[in-house]
Amino acid sequence: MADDNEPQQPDKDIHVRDHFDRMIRSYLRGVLSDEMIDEHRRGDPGHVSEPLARLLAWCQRRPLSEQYAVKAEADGTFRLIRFAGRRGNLPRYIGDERYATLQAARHGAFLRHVSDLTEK
Amino acid sequence: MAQQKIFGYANRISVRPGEEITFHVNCDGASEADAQLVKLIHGDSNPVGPGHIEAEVDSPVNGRWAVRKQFTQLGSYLEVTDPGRKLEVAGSFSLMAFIWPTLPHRGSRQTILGRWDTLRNTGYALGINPAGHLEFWVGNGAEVDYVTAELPLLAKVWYFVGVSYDRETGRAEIYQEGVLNRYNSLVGKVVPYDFASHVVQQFRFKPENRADVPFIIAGARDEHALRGPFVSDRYAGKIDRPAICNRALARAEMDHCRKGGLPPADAILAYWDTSMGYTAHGVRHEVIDTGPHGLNARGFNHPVRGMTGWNWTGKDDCFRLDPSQYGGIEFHPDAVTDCRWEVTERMTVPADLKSGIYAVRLRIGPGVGIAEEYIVFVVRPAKPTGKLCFLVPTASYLAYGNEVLSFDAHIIQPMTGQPPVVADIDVETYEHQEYGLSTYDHHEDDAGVCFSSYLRPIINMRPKYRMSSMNITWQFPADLSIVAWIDHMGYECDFITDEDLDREGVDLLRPYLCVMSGTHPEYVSEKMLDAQEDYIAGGGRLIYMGGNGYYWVVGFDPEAPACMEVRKLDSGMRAWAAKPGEHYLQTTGEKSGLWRNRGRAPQKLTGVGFIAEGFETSAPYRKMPDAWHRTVSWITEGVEGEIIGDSGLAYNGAAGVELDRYDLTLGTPPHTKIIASSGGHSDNYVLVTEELLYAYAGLTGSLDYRIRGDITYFTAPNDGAVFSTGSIAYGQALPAHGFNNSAARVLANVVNAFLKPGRLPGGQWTVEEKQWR
Repeated sequence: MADDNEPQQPDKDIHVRDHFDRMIRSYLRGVLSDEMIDEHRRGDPGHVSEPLARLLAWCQRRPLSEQYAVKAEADGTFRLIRFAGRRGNLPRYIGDERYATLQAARHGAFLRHVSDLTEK
Repeated sequence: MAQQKIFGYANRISVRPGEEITFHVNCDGASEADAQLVKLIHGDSNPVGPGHIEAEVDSPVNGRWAVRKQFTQLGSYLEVTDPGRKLEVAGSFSLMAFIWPTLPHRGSRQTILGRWDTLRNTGYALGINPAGHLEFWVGNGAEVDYVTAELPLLAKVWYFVGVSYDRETGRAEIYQEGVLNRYNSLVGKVVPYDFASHVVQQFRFKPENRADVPFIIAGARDEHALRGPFVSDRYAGKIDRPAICNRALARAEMDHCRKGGLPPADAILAYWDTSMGYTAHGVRHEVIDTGPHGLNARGFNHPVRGMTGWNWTGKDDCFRLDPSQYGGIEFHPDAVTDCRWEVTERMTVPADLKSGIYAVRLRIGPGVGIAEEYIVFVVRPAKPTGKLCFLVPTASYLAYGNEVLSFDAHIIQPMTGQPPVVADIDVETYEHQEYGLSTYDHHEDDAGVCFSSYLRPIINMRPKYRMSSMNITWQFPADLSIVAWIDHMGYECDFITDEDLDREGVDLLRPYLCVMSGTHPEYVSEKMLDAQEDYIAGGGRLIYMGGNGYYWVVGFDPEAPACMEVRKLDSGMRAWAAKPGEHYLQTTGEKSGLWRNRGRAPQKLTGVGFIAEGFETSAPYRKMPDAWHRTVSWITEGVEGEIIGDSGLAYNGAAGVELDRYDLTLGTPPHTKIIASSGGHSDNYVLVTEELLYAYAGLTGSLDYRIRGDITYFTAPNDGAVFSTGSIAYGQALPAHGFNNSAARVLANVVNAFLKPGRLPGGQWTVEEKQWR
């Protein structure tokens, strides 16, 4: 614990964010279903069901270092990457899977988030 | 073999036949590149459109170019002009400055001011050591002596710092005192920190001074065998009124300076009064030395001026009110506004080269990805040749130049609603970060980037490029969809740029019957706005082809016209917010921010203004009742049914990405007609923040009727008129289905009408129009 007179203090806001995140995760685990995953797999753009919208909002608001992105490879395939979350540090590949379509890759990223949520 | 990559830029973004343009290239892994002049027609590889289209042009510049590695000086700093080497001090001296460090714990040495040779360890300097402590050091080429403050510096707090060094006795006393007040620092008086430190050290070694080492503020001289001299140990933060005196000042004399007093007149070697030089029109880059030798300092990579100083009291919010409170100059170790590369090749634009958007295409090795470069420039006509003019929104290209939102901005995935799609070129440019950032990014110390220049490679100002966060073309490559439509339709069209319009005003537009904008002309100077308003009022016809246009107040640097400045503040969809008191452009003296907040909402010029943004999906427009009114029914002639723009290269619709709407309360001309409007957008579309007084739930596409793009039309004096699409995606909808689609049909109706001089279609109904509804 840093002394109150020490200028280099940790950011305690993270404690509150973590508490909020636990509540959100608990809700999302309660509504997660095969139908929701299938809805995302179909990739219908635009209006999505409310549970899926809330799950996507959680995915997109996670810290940058916990978010996934798609890397377009020179051979036309797609792979998943994860950002470093630290300025100037490069993203790293996640897994070896190559996806034939962008939608498949985005669904792959979604499934990674689901796995992180359920810790399975 | 080393990785092959090639990047370049031109010294001009707009050039006339007969004028010279120079090209500056940096290459790794090759000594020659294949060069080809090309005319750019289309730049989006989306299979819904025609793909990338360019036309090779015969030119003396075509062929093999000798290319090599060129280095870029990162960071903003001041270099003192000292031809008489007055600061090659042989005796005792003192250094002092007010500082507001932003990254004292960066982990690397930062030089505040001095005449220090990092390679050879000679000279003297006052700076911040890697642990975040104020430090003074001298070197004789073999040994270095240091005196270090006991307490670390706190970020974003104003201090007065200095050193008194007696060469004869070797006594060096470092001076550190906090000078924070209620307004000037991140924290106030209630924090229980001790800011003061005074340490005395007896130095064993005396500084030696090399003749060729300059006195630098916010950096130090370094040297590399391949690169030659450059500036390292760059400082992050503000410096106010740095000075050097010719003797070791006593503590009481330093205390006097800490309170804002001048050093003893007979002791001053140089006193850079950073608050001098302000006028109603901003401030120049030269920093004035009021000392006896006039050793003025010159800024490189745009040190930021117009910034609050150590004595800012929070009342005067602009340097025009009290420049003495605006001595702060802000430095960023990662700023780049001019790569200053040597010329690789030059070209005189042939007299018969048709106006258009061109590039020198450079290829090495495989010739794809980062082994291919397009150095883009606009050829304007020697004299106006067509009736139609495309105003290339180069200010907006600069604003987005080299953005890295996907990598650094946590907000980007919630905003776009989708994971970014990153390509090799994005990773490469992010890894090396040699070419500077966009006005959507932050410097390393979290300050917003307010300058952007084209004297550096701009990775996203080229054909084929897709913005990774949105996975669509954006700005330049998106505008090529309009260019391709103009080419497809066979219109004679001249091309001019924002820079040209800022310099030449309405006279540049007057020869044309019709002027078209790009998809997202968001950044506009006062001269550009005045010119377009006067053009329309004088009988000109404007087609506003975009969304979120005419939004930010910008200035072009009169000393470096390739560089544009913007400050983001108060309201608006903004990537950063300028700090209190720092809302005015140093390049023009104007208040920056939104034009709407200066009484010139875009609705007043175009009929529509920014209302929402969203990604992933676009939508079509549906005709509104006005579409059938006999004064304007010609606009949708040939479009069966109610739907307009149900396809496109930007999320498969013409209404999308960023949307504008009709709003009488913001100055939409009252007789404006809403021809068509979109709606029912997804909830990824959100209301813009400048519309918010109170925030409440549901300000999204499926719940708020205001979230839509409006196609509007109004007539102006002298047979003038304005047609607006109210959507970024409209331009990218034009090439869909071989340019045969309803959005393209509507636009053709308008352009064809606008290119006929005299009364516009529907004009015969003027009297009745005034009585209608």
